[in-house]
Amino acid sequence: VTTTTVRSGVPVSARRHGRLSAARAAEWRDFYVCISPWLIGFLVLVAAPMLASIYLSFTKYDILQPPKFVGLDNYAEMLFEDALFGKSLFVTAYYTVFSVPLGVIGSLVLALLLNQKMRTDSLFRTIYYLPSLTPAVASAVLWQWIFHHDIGLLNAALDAVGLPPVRWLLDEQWVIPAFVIVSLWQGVGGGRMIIFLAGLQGVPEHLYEAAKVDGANWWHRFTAVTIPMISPTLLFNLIMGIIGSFQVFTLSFLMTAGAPNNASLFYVLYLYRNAFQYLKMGYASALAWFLFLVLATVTLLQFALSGRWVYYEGGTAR
Amino acid sequence: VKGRNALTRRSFLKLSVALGTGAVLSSCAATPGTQGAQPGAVQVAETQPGPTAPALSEATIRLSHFEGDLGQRNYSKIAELIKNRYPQITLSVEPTFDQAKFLVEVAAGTAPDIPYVTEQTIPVLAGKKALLNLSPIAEADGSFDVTQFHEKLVEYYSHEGSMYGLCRLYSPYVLWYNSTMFDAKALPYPDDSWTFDSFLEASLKLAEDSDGDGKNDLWAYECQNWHNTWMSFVWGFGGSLFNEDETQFTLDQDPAAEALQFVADLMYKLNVAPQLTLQENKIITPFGFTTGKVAMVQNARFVLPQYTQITEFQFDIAPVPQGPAGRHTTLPTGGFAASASTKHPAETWECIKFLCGPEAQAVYASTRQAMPSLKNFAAVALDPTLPPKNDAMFIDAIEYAKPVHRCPHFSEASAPIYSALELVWTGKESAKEAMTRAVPEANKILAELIAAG
Repeated sequence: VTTTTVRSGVPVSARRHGRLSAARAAEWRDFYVCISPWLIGFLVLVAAPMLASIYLSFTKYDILQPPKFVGLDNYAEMLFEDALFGKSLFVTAYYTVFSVPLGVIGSLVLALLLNQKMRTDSLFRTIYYLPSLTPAVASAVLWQWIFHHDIGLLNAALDAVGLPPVRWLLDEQWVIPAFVIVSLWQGVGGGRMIIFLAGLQGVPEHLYEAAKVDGANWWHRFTAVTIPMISPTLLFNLIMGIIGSFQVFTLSFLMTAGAPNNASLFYVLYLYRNAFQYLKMGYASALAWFLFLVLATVTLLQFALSGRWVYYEGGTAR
Repeated sequence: VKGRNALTRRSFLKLSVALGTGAVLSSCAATPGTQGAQPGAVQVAETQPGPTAPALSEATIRLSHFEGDLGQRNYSKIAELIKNRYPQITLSVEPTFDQAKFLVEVAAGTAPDIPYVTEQTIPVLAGKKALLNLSPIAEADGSFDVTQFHEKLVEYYSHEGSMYGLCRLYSPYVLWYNSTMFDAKALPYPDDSWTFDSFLEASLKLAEDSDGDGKNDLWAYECQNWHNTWMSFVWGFGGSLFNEDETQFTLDQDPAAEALQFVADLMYKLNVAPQLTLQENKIITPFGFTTGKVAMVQNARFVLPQYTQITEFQFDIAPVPQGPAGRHTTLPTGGFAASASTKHPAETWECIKFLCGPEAQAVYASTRQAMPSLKNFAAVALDPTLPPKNDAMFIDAIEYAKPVHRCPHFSEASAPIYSALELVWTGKESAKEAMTRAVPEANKILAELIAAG
């Protein structure tokens, strides 16, 4: 074996010799046999439905009757006629603008605190991680009681400091802030915090020591050492946070189902309504592809801009 | 060599004698109905396969419902009765019915043979050709007499002149009242003389701040974000949900909007009903009738198994109050249909007949769920020894009760109205403003859906 470089599924060495040795061929056969469950699963359960949904997005399809090709009608209806499309997009964007930055900052602060060398750090890590392990249904029930306008804990706390009660989930102005609060409870101490923690623990100690020798205070060390060194994790958490917040469904489905007056009609909830309540599979597919395009654009933009602020040790962003 | 299960001549003769005796006995049995039956004593006549009924094959018939544990227990008992009657049929009961899931299963050819249907889902499912037209099978079945069902119920389970299902039970909405609370205020109980004014007058006396903390803790009425309750006020005021042919919503017209405001004012102006809250993604009351803190609620007989558990107070029922345009109430029903994709139409039909027939009705009646759809069977389902005393009122109420709608496009077209009503039920907007805004939007969607077929 002279090389391991592979192109088009055939080792260069084998191409160079013009034929595959029997052992190499057996190795490649075994390779494809081993990955075939995943490959078949991906092709049948992911790729094929995705391709089908592209076609369906150009049709009217109610499951029982065959799809009827309507060209760009679904996209035109979505963009120019459907007020709820715009509303659901706005609701989701509004939620994203607050929940992602606050969540990322919160997770980072928590990770910085938990990165201190303490005897109880494992305990705190577990405590902070617990909310992300709580099942969505349990979270929804819990938070509905906390937000309850008469007997909820939050209004009791407001009352204790002399503030008027808020009808959190029943008020168009307050329902999204309420969801942001739940997202922070769930997300600040979850997987994002663990990723930050891993990033922080990978920052070489000697950089801090060198900065200290140069007279840098904690803020300078944080902005000039910590942030650049964990910038790839910051980028990762930002991208995953935005994708996740655009896909919010379970909590809104369980807590408000879009109420009041569609003030919490998240985009995916609206997509679900069209697909499974109104059986407008063609229109729902168009909504899904629009969401895909939005997320792809936002993600590509983040990658494009990341070259300006993300530092990769020993390499570039791409 | 004879197998262990082979039929010997002796056992064949035994079986023949047994079947013959059974046939003679069953021919002597009472005809379906209640002639001579005592109220409360459920006497059961058997559902008979007709002389012209096709021979039945070995089949497993799947029934899908959404009635939870109670439904599962009832249908499992009925499955045993069916097995006794038709040994070749096995009724498999699945508590997982969902309309969208059912449509997907029909398209995939894997739908349950018998879906649970209501008067509102029949036009949706039949319109989408997801149900089997039962008229030809029913007409060919000499033993089936459609007149044993209440005429209204037969009509509600038909679509474009054909029968697509059989109703098994119905329950008009009535006014349930906590007689203990009325007694405490020395108020006369609601009765059929009650108007909206009498209702309001009593409500103002029933609501009370009993502990003096500045907030009411005893309430007169439980408002619900559920059209089966507020439609009696809409119709009573002379309004309507739809125009005659259900092609336009009409809740923005004055009588309807006034009725909706009347209900909202009970919570936000008169303070005689607890304000609605949001729980488990539904806008509901924080204090239900069963807490004993609310004197009146509109509900169907479906809640009776739950209300029977109440021991802290006495309750009874009365007709819903009448408004300037008379007395009206809603009529929810439940029944069975056959999936268009069933591979066993004859066996499925026998099961549907059985599920709506007297033996199955006896099972439903034993759990006091709702009123049986068989005209002559309704009175037997009542038990005068148990509350409510005025139970027979459910039978009378069917005369002035009607379904809220039978519009196949209701779910999608009504969405703007129900979103706007959330603001009315939470005291954020007047009914007139909300409906003036939402109804044109709903009518636009409805017109598009009707045009698209």
